[in-house]
Amino acid sequence: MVKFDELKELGEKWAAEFCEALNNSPEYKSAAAGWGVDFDGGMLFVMEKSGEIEDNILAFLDLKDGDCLGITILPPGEDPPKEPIMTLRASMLIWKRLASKELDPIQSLMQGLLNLEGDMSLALRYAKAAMELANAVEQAPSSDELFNKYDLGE
Amino acid sequence: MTYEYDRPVDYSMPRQCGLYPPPPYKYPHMRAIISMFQCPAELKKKYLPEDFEPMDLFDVAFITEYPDSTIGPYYENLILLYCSYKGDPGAYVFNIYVDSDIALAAGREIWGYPKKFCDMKLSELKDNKIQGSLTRMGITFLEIEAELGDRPPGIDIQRLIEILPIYNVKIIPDVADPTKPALRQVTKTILGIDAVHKQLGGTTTKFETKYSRFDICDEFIKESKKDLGSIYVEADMVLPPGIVLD
Repeated sequence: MVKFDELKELGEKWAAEFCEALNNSPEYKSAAAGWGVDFDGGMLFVMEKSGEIEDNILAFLDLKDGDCLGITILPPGEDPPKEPIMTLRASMLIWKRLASKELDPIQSLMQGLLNLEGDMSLALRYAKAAMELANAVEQAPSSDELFNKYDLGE
Repeated sequence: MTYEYDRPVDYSMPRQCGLYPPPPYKYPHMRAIISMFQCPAELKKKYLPEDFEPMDLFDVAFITEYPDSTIGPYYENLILLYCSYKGDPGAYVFNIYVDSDIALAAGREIWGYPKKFCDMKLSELKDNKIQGSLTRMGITFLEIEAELGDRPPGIDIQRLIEILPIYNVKIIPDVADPTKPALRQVTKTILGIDAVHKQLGGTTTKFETKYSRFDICDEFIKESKKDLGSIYVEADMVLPPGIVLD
């Protein structure tokens, strides 16, 4: 079984690349304009343990006005630095399928494989930005290693 | 509560014994299959009034049974297009079909909804499968089937419905001047959900349309992405009066 400590380095590398991918995405920048300007734009991605992965991996995304200010990987039990306005939660296996475009984010939401918690009115207003966030995951080069290095089960 | 409503004089026609009462209308134990699709923005723009901007997320087709309501039992289909009005996101009422004259008249005359009469079917939920269809003028122009899983969808449907404005453009023709409407109002209505009894998420296994010269459906749904999934909901719903925006 794989514990958080073994994933920490890879997770942080992925977080930095994902943040860079967001900052390099004109589509995300345009769709997320205004996000986090009048409110705290922190988002939490919860990648729940699956297969060989024994601990949940939490990524806190600090987002403001189309920019990614930083992504922090949180050890188990640690609270995010700020209260996230929105949380996306799925098993690591589902994140892998989302990252590889095998699953569509809306399909996953409808089937309850991906869960969205938080301010629904913001989710509606910034729906396109959320889709672009999902699209940028595959732009992080280490996504492939993060999601394929270990057996995530079926 | 079926048909047990007041018929105030001079509210709806015939004026001495109106066809329908004033809102709010209550819909206890309604059940619906809600199938998502994604109409391309450029196509959606063609079907939206000029004040509305298409938005990407999902567009929605509902087939609903109201086993009882303030105005009696009936079936209804709604097709809603996700868009924004002056920057505020919401769902534009593209088409509504009903199989009750009271629902047809009340919907058109109070909220100005684009309602037509139609034969509708919605099967019982059996082995987590459900089917619905719409037939008008002898043409079955919409068929939906969904296979539901055991878990609820990953979004709060009650909250989503309660915050999503339903936009409409109410148009009443002028009795004297056929060149322009007597009334044109941009309206919004926010549905209320008193309780959700059941909700399941799943996949859309059939979403077929057929061309009909009497209805607009096939023209844009056939160009849409149709495998975005479906939700089954049983709930107590309330339709309140709307708000005039413009």
